[in-house]
Amino acid sequence: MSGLANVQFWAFVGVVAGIYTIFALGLQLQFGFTGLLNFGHVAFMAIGAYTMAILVVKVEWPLWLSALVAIAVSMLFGLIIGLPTVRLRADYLAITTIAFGEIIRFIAVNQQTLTGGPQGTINLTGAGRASSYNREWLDFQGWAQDQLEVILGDHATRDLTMLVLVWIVAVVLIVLLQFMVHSPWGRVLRSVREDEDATSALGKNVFSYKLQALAVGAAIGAIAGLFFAFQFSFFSPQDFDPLTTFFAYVIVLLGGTAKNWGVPVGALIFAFIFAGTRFLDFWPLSELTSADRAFLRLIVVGLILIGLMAFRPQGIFGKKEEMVLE
Amino acid sequence: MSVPERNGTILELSDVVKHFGGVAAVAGAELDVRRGSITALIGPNGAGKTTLFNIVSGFYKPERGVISFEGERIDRKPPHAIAQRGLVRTFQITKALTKMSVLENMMLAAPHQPGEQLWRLVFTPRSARAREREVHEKAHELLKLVRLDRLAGDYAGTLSGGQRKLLEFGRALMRDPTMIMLDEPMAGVNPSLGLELLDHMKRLQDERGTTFLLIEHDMEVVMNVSERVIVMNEGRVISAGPPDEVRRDQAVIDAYLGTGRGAGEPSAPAEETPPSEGDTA
Ligand SMILES: Nc1ncnc2c1ncn2[C@@H]1O[C@H](COP(=O)(O)OP(=O)(O)OP(=O)(O)O)[C@@H](O)[C@H]1O
Ligand SMILES: [Mg+2]
Repeated sequence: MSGLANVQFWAFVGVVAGIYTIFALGLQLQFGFTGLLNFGHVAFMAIGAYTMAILVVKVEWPLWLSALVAIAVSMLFGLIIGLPTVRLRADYLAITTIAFGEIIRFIAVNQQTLTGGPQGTINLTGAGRASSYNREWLDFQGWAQDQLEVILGDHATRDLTMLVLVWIVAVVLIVLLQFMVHSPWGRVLRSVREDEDATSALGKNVFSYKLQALAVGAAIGAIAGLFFAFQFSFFSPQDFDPLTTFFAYVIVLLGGTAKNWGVPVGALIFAFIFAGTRFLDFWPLSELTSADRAFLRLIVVGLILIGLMAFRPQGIFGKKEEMVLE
Repeated sequence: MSVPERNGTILELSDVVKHFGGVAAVAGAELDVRRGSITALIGPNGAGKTTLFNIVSGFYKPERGVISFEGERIDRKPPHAIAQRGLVRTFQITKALTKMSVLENMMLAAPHQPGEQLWRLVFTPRSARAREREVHEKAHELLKLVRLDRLAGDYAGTLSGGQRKLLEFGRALMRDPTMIMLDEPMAGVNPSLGLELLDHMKRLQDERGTTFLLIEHDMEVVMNVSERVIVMNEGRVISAGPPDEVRRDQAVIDAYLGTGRGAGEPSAPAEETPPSEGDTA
């Protein structure tokens, strides 16, 4: 059980939670506040990570420019997927986004010269340059680590630096989103979620607001993708399977729908469960192989979701009275 | 604001047709509403009144016909564009934004809020905040009018049926419309408050020249408040004119009798009409 006390390990869990927080914030805006059933959110993460890596490696653009363009491309895809679908009934958007997520993943698998194919970024420019997209980031992270050392001394490890960076971005995004959803703009989004007809009868262009929510959510998803790429310095299409979107929904529901501060809490619980199941190595679970035990966490996540729906359907931060309003 | 000319037509419909499957809900309706008037639209249940509202407000596309508002065609315009032109409608089956507060329901409706655009929210936050203050004040005034000011902070989803009707009415007024179409605004509202709302409508008509078209089953209200009555039956306009004339129109009497209601006498159909929880919106 020595792992439980391992700071490095928990720093890593914290980084993953931070990335998932950012990722799920995009979904919170789209689903939680606007009521859009986006089941392909992972695609925006994939587009963010891949666009950035490809631009850095193949076009040799600087990292920051590539990252900005990656966010813009993701927003563009948000608009493209929204244009034909958001006028239709909610379930059509759900179906289309599922397909969209899978299409992006299949493109990543099959367009080998562009994306590196199934082996991911290892193959992006050929052997030995697996993480070449990350060089500028590592320089920056090194610089940030130096700054941290001034405060923390030897404790300022690479992982801890990343932890701080991810959470700074996550908290900034939460504060920003909190401001946005409580602005007149956000009021229209929430009203779209409540009743589209009432909203348009009051002179608001529902179509346009749905597209905006999709695009902004896509941008946030892409930021999560950037951090994913920075943290793991290697990624492949299988990192972007539909399960990832499902996890974001779990996080949003755990924290509470339409509650921005619920997202980091949901993400931390989620990351803790996910990483924590590796400590379930006592009997009788020790009879299982470690690979089998890895699947346990999916069962645990499922059980928690069932428990949540049964005992606290509004999530941790949600208000119970909102659940019964019609 | 100068009071617009009170004569002339503000809304004009010709040969408007809308089917649902085999049912001709609106079958070639012709009507016009005079600027600055309070006009009642009446007719038996299922006559097509609500459907007509849905067509005019852009929620249904008519299969045929021309609709013009203030001289411009609106029959291919989306609902939000029509509302932005100053033609606002309420719903027979109310549509409260249940998980938002009563106050937010009102404030949402306000026009010209620059903060509803992201880029303006970022670049001109002050104008958004200034407008927000105006909107807030106006919302409180109107909430007082409809007697919902004490419930401003409550979820709209906690309101009763009648209170939701009042919210619908207040929300429409938030837009400062040129013309309002009200679908049974008094249904479920207590009569004395109903009278106050009618007074307010008359005041808006006087002071701003606001035009009202209201669907109403209560004949007493219809006869009292409206200077013109339009009668629909089976998707068509069968009569239009001053209340006294329309009341004596044989076609109108037949239409009501045909569905088992007596409308010949001014008092007859009013009280029996059930509250508006119909099957259509
Ligand atoms: N969405 C719809 N789908 C199918 N049929 C509809 C729809 N809306 C209305 N109808 C039909 O169209 C006809 C007219 O309905 P409408 O709601 O316009 O009547 P109304 O005059 O408003 O009646 P009420 O006074 O009862 O509200 C009815 O026969 C109704 O069944
Ligand atoms: Mg009706």
